[in-house]
Amino acid sequence: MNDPKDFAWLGGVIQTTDTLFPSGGYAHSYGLEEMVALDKVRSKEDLEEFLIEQILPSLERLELPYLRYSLKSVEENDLNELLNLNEEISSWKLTREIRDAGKSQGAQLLRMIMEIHQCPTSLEFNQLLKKRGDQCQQIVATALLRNLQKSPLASSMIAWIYQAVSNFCSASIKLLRLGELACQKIIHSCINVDKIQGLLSRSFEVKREEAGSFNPLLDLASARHELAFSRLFIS
Amino acid sequence: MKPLGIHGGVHLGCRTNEDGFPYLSSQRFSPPIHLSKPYYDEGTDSLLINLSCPTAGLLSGDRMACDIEVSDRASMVVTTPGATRSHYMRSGVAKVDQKFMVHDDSFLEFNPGSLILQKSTALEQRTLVEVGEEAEVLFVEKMLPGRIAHGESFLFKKFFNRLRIQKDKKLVLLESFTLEPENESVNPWRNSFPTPFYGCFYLVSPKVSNELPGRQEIHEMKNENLIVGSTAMHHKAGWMVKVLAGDPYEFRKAMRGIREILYKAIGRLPTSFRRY
Repeated sequence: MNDPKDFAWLGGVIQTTDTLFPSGGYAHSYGLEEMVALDKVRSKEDLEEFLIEQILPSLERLELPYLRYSLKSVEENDLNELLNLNEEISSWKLTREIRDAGKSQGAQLLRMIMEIHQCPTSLEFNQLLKKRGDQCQQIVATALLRNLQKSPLASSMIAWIYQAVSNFCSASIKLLRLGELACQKIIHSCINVDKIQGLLSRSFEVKREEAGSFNPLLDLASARHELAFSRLFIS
Repeated sequence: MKPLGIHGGVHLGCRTNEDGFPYLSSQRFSPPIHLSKPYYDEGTDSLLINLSCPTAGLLSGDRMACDIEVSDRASMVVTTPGATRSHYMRSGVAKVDQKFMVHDDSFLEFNPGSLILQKSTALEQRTLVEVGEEAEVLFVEKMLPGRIAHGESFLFKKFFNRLRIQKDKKLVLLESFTLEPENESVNPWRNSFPTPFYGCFYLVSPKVSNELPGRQEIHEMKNENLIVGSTAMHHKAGWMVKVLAGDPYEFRKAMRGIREILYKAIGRLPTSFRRY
């Protein structure tokens, strides 16, 4: 059996991906609410297709590479570069609601890291952000957390995929009246080994100057959600 | 074998003369770009420039640089007489590098015709828009996944596009993507409408930092063949308005209507493109 010390990071990752951990994700649909209103996602089959064909590719080519770049900067204690990455993330989050969701969840996560772990790097980074009048994006806060937990890179990335997918599924319980079992089946089909392995290996290849994805429909849904007459979610 | 392709482009500087009229203070162009005679539009006090392409589009190995600077309170509108075609390529890639600098109290609208990504084409486009704190820019992108009227759709090889907008040296928008119909990267676009026309306005102006007048009107344009939406840029630098349409008529109508609303929002009059 492997040395239990090899898994010391696992408890922390489980704690911080659990729904009990106050990430604030439950209040967001990340554009899904308006995708449903636009009739683009109407059923569990549509949701699964939306996640597999639209969200996973975007994680692969954009969010996961930026998590990787952020982790590298934290490891190297290059906080100025981390500030640059934080700024870039806010700039490629094209719609205000998605950008603000990243900031509010990032700020919340950074607060939790400082409260629970008294992490000096996070404290210093928070000071730098304050000086700039900026807020921490969730991807950057997650990099600070996973570095602190000594979580292996691939595990940190899988945890990010899981959280992204489960947030959409959680919103779909209200938006599409999906049951828990349906949601778990969808999550399983998104994070099964074959899918994750291919996704991660492609994601590792994405260079910073090429990172990005194109989803005009989701951008439009998110932009339209800002002026929606009635809504259940903040984004 | 020596790589084929034309290396050229356009460099333009626009300022105002002693009487306050905008004029081309510097110009240099070479194939694949040709420049029309500049037209001063009295009604809008803008200098209209039409960039045309004698090779009828981009071919494998082409390298095109577009460098435009507007300063000294000048107002300039740059467009093209028609669509820009990225043609069939057996191999290789065409590359476009664009740089726009707009200094304080000046205005630039860059609004070329649609980019048509034809069968087997491979194109890389990089754009940097630098805007002064008190400057204004309306940058427009329009994109078609092929010669739709001929039934050609999503048969291009690869399109890499990277747009970086900076206001007063601060990054306010970064949009970057690689589209390859062979993988799932085009699915969100392809699945939006059977023949999806895409357009996007990027408006940077201190006049709309807090709100965009006419925003509700833009959102109300939506119908079964058209989705439009607007959102604020990072650092409240301006607004982005995206458009997806299922047919060319709706697309042109929406692009025209939104342009008018955005001009009104910044207290300017839209210059006619004078395409006859």
